[in-house]
Amino acid sequence: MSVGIKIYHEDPKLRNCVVTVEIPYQLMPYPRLCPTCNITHHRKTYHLRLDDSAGTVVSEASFKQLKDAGLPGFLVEGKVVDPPAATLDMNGSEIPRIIVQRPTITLRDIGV
Amino acid sequence: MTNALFTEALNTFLGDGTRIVGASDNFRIIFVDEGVDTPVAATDDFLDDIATGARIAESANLGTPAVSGGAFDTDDVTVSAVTGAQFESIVLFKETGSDATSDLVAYYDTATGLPFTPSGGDVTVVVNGPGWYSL
Repeated sequence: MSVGIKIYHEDPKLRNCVVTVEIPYQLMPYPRLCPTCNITHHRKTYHLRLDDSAGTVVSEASFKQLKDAGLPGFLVEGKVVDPPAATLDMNGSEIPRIIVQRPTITLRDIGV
Repeated sequence: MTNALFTEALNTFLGDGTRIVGASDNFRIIFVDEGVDTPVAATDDFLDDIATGARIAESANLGTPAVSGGAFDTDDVTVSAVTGAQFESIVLFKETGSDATSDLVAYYDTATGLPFTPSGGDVTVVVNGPGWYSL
């Protein structure tokens, strides 16, 4: 049985959107250009996808990091037993390819 | 970085071609917390190059690996009860039972839902229609 923690943003207008929370004490090993928000993150930055009630469920480990960061703007609703499943969809993203330059052979009529 | 093949995997494909065999080897994915370790496609070659502390979760062997139309594909995969910190990327690798010999194959940081904050629930990765990678 797994457990998550439901948190929600204190601004109820923040629904169905992504809210970022930077973890100030955790520098990234390398600055990371984020494909999601097109910003270079120098510190670990959570991207919390809020549902239509401005809430989201996070793991206990994630909650600890967010709490250490002050959980800015968020309130805790409580524990959620057996949190809902989620999907990561690779469709629409570019798949890695081996690009092979095809050689071109031009045939000439040499009159034979 | 964008979705990419690891350079050493490319070398393998272009070399003897037997170290990574899509249709018969076991493949898995891991979720990577890049706040702990960032995979480097140009230089990382085996799973032991990714710090264990950065591996949020590892799948079972991917089902029905197949090579067709110049692409490597498998079934979608569900990783159960994923906990831990947010992960920013997914790494596909050949599983040998030893981190030191498990070839890193491909890196993905662009997919709908990434970066992903685990909730403790199951996470299903829907494989791209064309597959994991292609020629």
